[in-house]
Amino acid sequence: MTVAADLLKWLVGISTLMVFWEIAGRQAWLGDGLPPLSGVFDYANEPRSTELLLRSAGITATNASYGFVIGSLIGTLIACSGQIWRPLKQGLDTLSTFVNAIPLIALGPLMIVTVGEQFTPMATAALAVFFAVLVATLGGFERVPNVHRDVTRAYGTTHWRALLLVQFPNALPSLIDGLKLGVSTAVLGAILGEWFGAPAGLGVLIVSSMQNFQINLLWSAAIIGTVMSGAAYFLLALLQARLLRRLGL
Amino acid sequence: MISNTSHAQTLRASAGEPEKAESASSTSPSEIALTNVSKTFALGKGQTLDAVSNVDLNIAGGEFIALIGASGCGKSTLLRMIAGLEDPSQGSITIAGQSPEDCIKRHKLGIAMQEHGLMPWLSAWNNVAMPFRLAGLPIDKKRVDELLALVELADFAQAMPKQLSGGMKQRVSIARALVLKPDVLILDEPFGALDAVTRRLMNNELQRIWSQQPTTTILVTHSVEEAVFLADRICLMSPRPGRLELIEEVELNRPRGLDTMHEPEFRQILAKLTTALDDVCTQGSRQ
Repeated sequence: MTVAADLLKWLVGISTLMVFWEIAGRQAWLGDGLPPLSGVFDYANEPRSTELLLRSAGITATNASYGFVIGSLIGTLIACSGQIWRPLKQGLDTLSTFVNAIPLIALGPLMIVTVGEQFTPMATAALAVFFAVLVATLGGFERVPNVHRDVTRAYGTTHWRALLLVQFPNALPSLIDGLKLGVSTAVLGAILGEWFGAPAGLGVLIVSSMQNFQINLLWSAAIIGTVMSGAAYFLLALLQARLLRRLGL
Repeated sequence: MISNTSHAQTLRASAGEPEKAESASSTSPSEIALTNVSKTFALGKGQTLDAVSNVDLNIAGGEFIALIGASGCGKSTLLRMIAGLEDPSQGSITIAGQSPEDCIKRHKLGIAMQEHGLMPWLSAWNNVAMPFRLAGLPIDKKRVDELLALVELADFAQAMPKQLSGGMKQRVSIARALVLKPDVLILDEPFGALDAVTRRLMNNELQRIWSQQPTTTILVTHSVEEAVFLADRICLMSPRPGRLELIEEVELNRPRGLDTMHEPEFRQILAKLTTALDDVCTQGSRQ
């Protein structure tokens, strides 16, 4: 019910934005930089543009998905390792802050050199997701109720068992929050990675349309990227609601 | 004003309780000895807080002890030290001659707190079975069923915690505490969050469960009535730093029922302890 209500709010918000966009475009309030939305849609509907946009979106979605999975797994595993090996835990906060402080844009050229053009979008997506998931999961572990900690200790539980049986289920709502946040940053990270010279993808389209002043193509690519992020976020929110209800959390 | 009375073993040697009389013998594996136990917490910036000071206490195997005192007097800290969840700053605690940590390692400790601490993602049955999983032991399904029956929740085995009332959750929590047949049962205000009527019924329930599964039990409570109803001996602690101010034996026959609360002896001990508690608290607030 909450998810449906959220969706409704989204739709109302997006519809309002679209109406304003159309008016602003028609009145040319922002000059050539913001064409009417209907013009962007007309452009995207042309068979050649549609084919190009869908192919690019598919590549970006693939890059973002791989980045999302890799970043989430690494973020979760590192956060969990801090629960198993306590001395690591203190360093993790510093690490996560440090990683977040590095501008992705500065890492792009470095990644092109190390992992190559093809894998840079995945790597930038993974890095963006990694931070969101690491911070969220660490926060989840901090919020394990004290009484659960006491019960766990009173039975002489090993770190592994405590992690699997008590801490991880308790951290799950936070972890999913991190995944929700991460899925949007994965798309952004992938697009950014493609900027640096990947062979194809929405990022590549955006760069080339900027250089050639193809405003309609630029906006089409931007809208598709946004829709992808939004859809993935919505799917995860749906999954979160179901999972948490099932777990009674 | 310490009136440390003689041992409570003789109290329980009454007919009808052969198991308990046996478990209270001097060779019991659950005899607890506290020697000069103190706890000081560091508050930072060089400041410290003396929570518990110089507590000496011997608890016989199978004995039910209640710790009472004003809020913040250190009774929960003392309990946590016995449970091995906090280390004493000074003095020693032994359970059957070993440290509380050893008791934990042997999975011989049961614990139930004011917050039931049930895992919300597990059914009542799985919550009761949780100590087996936490301890890495194979789950004794019969034992779990037996405990759920003991707390009269067999019909709610598959219910999730959110579907249970406050009292039911606490009963699951007590079943969980008892499932590994602990030598020592630690109860920290287990019924503190319940309404007065449910609390009385739960006290009666705990008394019944305890009579069937006699275990060395240490209960922290704010309710003098609860302490008198359940315990063999009651330790009254002074306000911070917590010291043992008075130890009172409760010479009421077992099994006790709700009627016990109307007996003159019960009212007499209750009145004595309530006055002592008031005195101790008044002195503490004047200091």
